[in-house]
Amino acid sequence: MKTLKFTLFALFVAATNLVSAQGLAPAVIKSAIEKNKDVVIRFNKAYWESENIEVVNAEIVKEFLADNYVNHFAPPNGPNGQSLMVQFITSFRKGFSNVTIEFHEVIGGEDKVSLVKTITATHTGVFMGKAATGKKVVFNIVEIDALKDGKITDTWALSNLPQVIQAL
Amino acid sequence: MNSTEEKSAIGQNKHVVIKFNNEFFGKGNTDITQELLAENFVNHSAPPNSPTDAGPMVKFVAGFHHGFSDISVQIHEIFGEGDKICVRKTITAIHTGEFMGKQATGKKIVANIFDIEVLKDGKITERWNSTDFPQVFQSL
Repeated sequence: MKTLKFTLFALFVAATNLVSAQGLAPAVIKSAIEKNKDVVIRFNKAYWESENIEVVNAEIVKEFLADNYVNHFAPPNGPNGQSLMVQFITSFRKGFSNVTIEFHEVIGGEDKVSLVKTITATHTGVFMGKAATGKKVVFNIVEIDALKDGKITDTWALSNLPQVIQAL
Repeated sequence: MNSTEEKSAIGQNKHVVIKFNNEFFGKGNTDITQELLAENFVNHSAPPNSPTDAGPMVKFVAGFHHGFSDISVQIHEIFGEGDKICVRKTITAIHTGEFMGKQATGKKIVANIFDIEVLKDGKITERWNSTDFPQVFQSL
């Protein structure tokens, strides 16, 4: 009888562990997703809205982007990685001021985060050969970022930037 | 909703989005909008001053299937959270007819596309989209 009781108790404990193990796993995944979303949002705000390019170059890019970061839709045969990101924002900042970012959707899936965002800015300097027009521009961007160990390793992004610049 | 139910809802929503892509963009079946888009469907990425219902999308797809052949949709990535599904895809096609005033060039195009779709009761209610199709088409 004692053995039976013990066996039942052991089974009960095992069953409880099983339930809690099943219950825990999605919670752990959820919290990892929330952390990844937070990284992507903080990076985007710091990267786009910071007026100090030196800070972006020295700190922000290194804090949020992995050493082997790849931007998959960058022009082929050109620079990539962290240096491309610094190069882009440096020339963007020469052409635009009053830069603000707005997030419309932030969706997380395992090691990926998808963003629907809008960048609003004023065209007050030269950008891609176009002299300042003083116009307010709105860039719509949809992107997917992949993350590992709290850093962004890959970005796939599409936007209406070419059409907006062309129409300036 | 517990996590198992959420997972299964995401799975069902993915199925709807994949079917919509294959039928609507892949086969040019514009009637599928009645089955898979909600009555109050909103396209957040409609061009400025253009209606945000399915109308312009239907026109675009009908025109695209007139101007292009061998149309194929490849979904590279699809994931969901809550009531939303995110898709990264390419559409390949051959420019064999007139499209947006441009006569057939016989050239193959590859357009990159991202969609975010919001679903309710098995239908797509909202959509955000971004694509390099305008640049790809312009360079034909």
